[in-house]
Amino acid sequence: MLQLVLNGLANGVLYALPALGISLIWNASGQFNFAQSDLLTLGGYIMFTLFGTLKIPYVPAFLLTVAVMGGVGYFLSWVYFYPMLEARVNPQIIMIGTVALSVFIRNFILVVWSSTPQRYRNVFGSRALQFGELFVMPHVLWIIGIVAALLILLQYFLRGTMMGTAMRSVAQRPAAAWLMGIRNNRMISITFMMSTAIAAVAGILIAPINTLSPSMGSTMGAKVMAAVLIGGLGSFSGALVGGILVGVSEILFSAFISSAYRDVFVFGLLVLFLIFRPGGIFKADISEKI
Amino acid sequence: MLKISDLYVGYTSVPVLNGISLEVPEGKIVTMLGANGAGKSTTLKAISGLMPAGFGSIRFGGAELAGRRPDEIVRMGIAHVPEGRLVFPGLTVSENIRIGSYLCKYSKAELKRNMEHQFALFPRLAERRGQLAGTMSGGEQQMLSIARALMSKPKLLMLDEPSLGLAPVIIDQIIDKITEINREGTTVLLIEQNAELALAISDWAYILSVGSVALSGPSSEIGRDRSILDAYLGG
Ligand SMILES: Nc1ncnc2c1ncn2[C@@H]1O[C@H](COP(=O)(O)OP(=O)(O)OP(=O)(O)O)[C@@H](O)[C@H]1O
Ligand SMILES: [Mg+2]
Repeated sequence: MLQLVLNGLANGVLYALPALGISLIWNASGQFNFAQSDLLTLGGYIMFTLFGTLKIPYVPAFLLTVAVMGGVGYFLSWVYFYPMLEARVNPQIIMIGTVALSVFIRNFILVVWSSTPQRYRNVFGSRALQFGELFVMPHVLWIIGIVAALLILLQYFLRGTMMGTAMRSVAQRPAAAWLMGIRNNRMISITFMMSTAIAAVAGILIAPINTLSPSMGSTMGAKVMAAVLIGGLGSFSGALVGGILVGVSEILFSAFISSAYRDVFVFGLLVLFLIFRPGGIFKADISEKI
Repeated sequence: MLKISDLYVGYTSVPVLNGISLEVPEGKIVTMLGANGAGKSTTLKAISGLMPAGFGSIRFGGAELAGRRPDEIVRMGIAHVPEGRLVFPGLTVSENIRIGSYLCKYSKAELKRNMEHQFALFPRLAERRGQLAGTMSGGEQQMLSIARALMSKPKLLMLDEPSLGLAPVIIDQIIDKITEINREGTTVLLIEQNAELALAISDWAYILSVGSVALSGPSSEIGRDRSILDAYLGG
């Protein structure tokens, strides 16, 4: 039983990472980005090329991938999100555009890397650590650590620094933010840069575990979405807790009831949350936009 | 200090301002009155760079403002308290005030001193430092919006209908604060619906009517003939 919970935890933290990126964008620009999970896949593939194919050592390859993906995020905000926001396009339409973006990225990956599943070495080791009766893969501990560190950093950045506060201001009242001398376009670009970099971190960590395929992100996407909404859209702790809740309950459900219906179960859980606690577990203050 | 000459501004080709000229001398309070839709808010937005100026010039202390970005204009010493307050609802009172100094590279001590100055001016805000701005009353939000604008230590403070929707007692308080801020050396450009109050505290008045200046003069003179005023303000 405890072993199952641990396995669920391992899955859950993987959902938590992209969930974090989605909540960040929501907080900082009021946008919901469906392409987040495909950006994650793209990050995994870039790492595959740098680390798996070009044999660049892990840490530099990791950093380089994150930097490249940050650039991709900056570029996307600059060619897509900011012009749309500036033109006061309806947020729902911008959101639907991100679905198109997601399809585009997936096909881009297909063209560049083909559909053959790829994989690179799991640097955290593939031998489970034993704690008494329990077995846990080292990458699970690493991922939990990395997610926790990112959470703390983000929380500090958004609450404790002038730039983070400016980011939240832009999301809440763009016109007033301009009057404070905050350049909205820059802030939005920085947000996308950050969230795409986070997606890349997720992709890099997940690829050796899940096997890379162009649709890796989107198969996870639905669970990630559930994690975000259950945890509370816009809340960072919610992203972590939501991810873990989805991961653990999914594993328990498939072990004790039916593994064929696990996706149905996750959606059922999501629907229950949407009905009885629509704001998610950690209802974020910012989602109470006026 | 501020001098607008023959300014034209429009929303996607619909003209709103048809050649406005206006002057705000240093140290004074100048008020802009006019019926709804006369173009008062549009004038302020053109000054602060939120709306592009079509033709004409907006000079501030000798420099041209037209065509500059809002952040450059803030940096030159103009703060705009917008219509409807527009506080950041999900930020606390303290955070709202702090973000007003976004462009000022204050040291920690300077920042604190400046914030305490605002809290001294508006004690109501001091009691509510940690409260989310979105949960405050209209009057408190107005005070917050003004305090936030003052954080950049502006030379010119522009206020767009600060009395809108407030109870008479609160309006009096806000008006007192505006004169106090002016006495401390900040030039004020004030838009008001409440003509009587605005004329009472200002040195000079402009009456706007469908995008042009219909009347201007010393506030004491403008206030003397109610019938002319009422004709323009539709009151
Ligand atoms: N975003 C916009 N798009 C198109 N027209 C606009 C826009 N904003 C304002 N206008 C028009 O510009 C004109 C002037 O508006 P403005 O807000 O400057 O008036 P105002 O004098 O401030 O009025 P009020 O006293 O009601 O605040 C109005 O006719 C208004 O309909
Ligand atoms: Mg107005």
